[in-house]
Amino acid sequence: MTQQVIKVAKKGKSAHSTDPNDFVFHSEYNTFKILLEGTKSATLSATTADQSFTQAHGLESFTIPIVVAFAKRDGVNQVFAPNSFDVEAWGEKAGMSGDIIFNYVKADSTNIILNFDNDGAEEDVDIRYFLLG
Amino acid sequence: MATFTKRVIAGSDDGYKLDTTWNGTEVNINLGKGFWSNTIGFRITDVTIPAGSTINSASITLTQRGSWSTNSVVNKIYGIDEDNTLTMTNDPTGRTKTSANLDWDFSATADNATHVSGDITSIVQEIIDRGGWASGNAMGFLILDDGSTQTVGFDAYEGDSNACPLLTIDYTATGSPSSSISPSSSISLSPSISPSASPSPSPSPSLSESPSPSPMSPFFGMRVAKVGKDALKTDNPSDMVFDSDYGTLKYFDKQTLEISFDADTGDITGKATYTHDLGYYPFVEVFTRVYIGSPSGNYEYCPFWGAGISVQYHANYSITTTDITVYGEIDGVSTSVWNFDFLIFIYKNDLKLD
Repeated sequence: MTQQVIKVAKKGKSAHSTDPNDFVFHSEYNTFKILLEGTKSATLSATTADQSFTQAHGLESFTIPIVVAFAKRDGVNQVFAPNSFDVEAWGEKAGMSGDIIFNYVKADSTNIILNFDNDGAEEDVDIRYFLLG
Repeated sequence: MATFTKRVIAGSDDGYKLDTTWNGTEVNINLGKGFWSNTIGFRITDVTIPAGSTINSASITLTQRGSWSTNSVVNKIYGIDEDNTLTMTNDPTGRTKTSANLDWDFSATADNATHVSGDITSIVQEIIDRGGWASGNAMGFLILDDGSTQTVGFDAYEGDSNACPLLTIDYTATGSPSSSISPSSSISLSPSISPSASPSPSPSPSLSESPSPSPMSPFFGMRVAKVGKDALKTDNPSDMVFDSDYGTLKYFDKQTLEISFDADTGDITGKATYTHDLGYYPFVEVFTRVYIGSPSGNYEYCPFWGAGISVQYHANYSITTTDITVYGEIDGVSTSVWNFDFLIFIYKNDLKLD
């Protein structure tokens, strides 16, 4: 039996195309589903490295999902990603450092884990996380 | 319908404010007004109610601590209008309150007596309906004095962890059966759609060959199962290539940016900006390759750090509500021209980090 498909082509593209890049949806290719999306606020202690914060995700019955997160300091209008420091202070030749480093985000079977360093004063950080599966 | 019931589970999750002083570690939390007004604040963590749920009823229960004669108090309950409110270690009374509120007036009875609020459905629903609410978040409440002339005290977590503030919510989760919708409206993957079919706003629910009985709840939405999986027999999103119960990333744009600087002239950093003008912080993915000379190398997930014999290099990016700025930088000894190529994928998913 021929495998049936559902395709939704991009504007100006043919549904007969064999290039998956021509489709906004193609049932032969998985899509990332946002299993969970949420925010977490964290207060980073002053001059403390390796600060971890956890958020239960309630997806114990799934395999560990892909987790993506973005952070923003209170009062600073820039969002930054894991493996990165806040770039507010980044100017020409500012040096490879910043007060706050968003070290990583990861997920285990029960929790999302977010890890920061803070070389400066106590700071509040807002985080938005996505679990994709 | 399901019921969620949970007390405060940490001393840092409740407290009360007397006049201008927040008391977060005492054995009692007080309402009313003696000489000064009292405000109780508390939060319940890990509230496992899915976004989109319908709240059927909800209440707060406080347990009286000590005898307060027949003192009466006049209060107003608010929710804290946040997706995932923080601890009550610091004074929470300045946090944004829900529009919904409820008057709660009662008189003291006896030590250990419980006092149950009226129905706070509208308050809880307002929090659940926030765009950023997710199952597992913390939900907070403030109970403000509203004209009392007397004071009554209640158990805080530090006073009795089995009698501290209790939240009870009856709710119906999204996708649960509803008597107002016919199961016949359920749509799943329809093999009858031709491979050459154009996009249609109304895919035919023609795969209605009476699904075999299954313990699953009726599903109201659209699913496209992976090959070998049956959309009618599984709720597991891992079995679907599409499931309308779950959002997707909304691809918006792909951009490229380049940075180049000559370390021989003292330049060790550069940046470039793309203006997206979406008016909010979008979900972004960035990939970078770094090279000296002709374009070469693989794109790596950005931000990243790398190192050579005498040089460290680093690529990074930041997002604002109008721009995406990429950065490249080296540190060490170099006389070369450094190039950073960036691929930027932008999605119209609002990070809601205002």
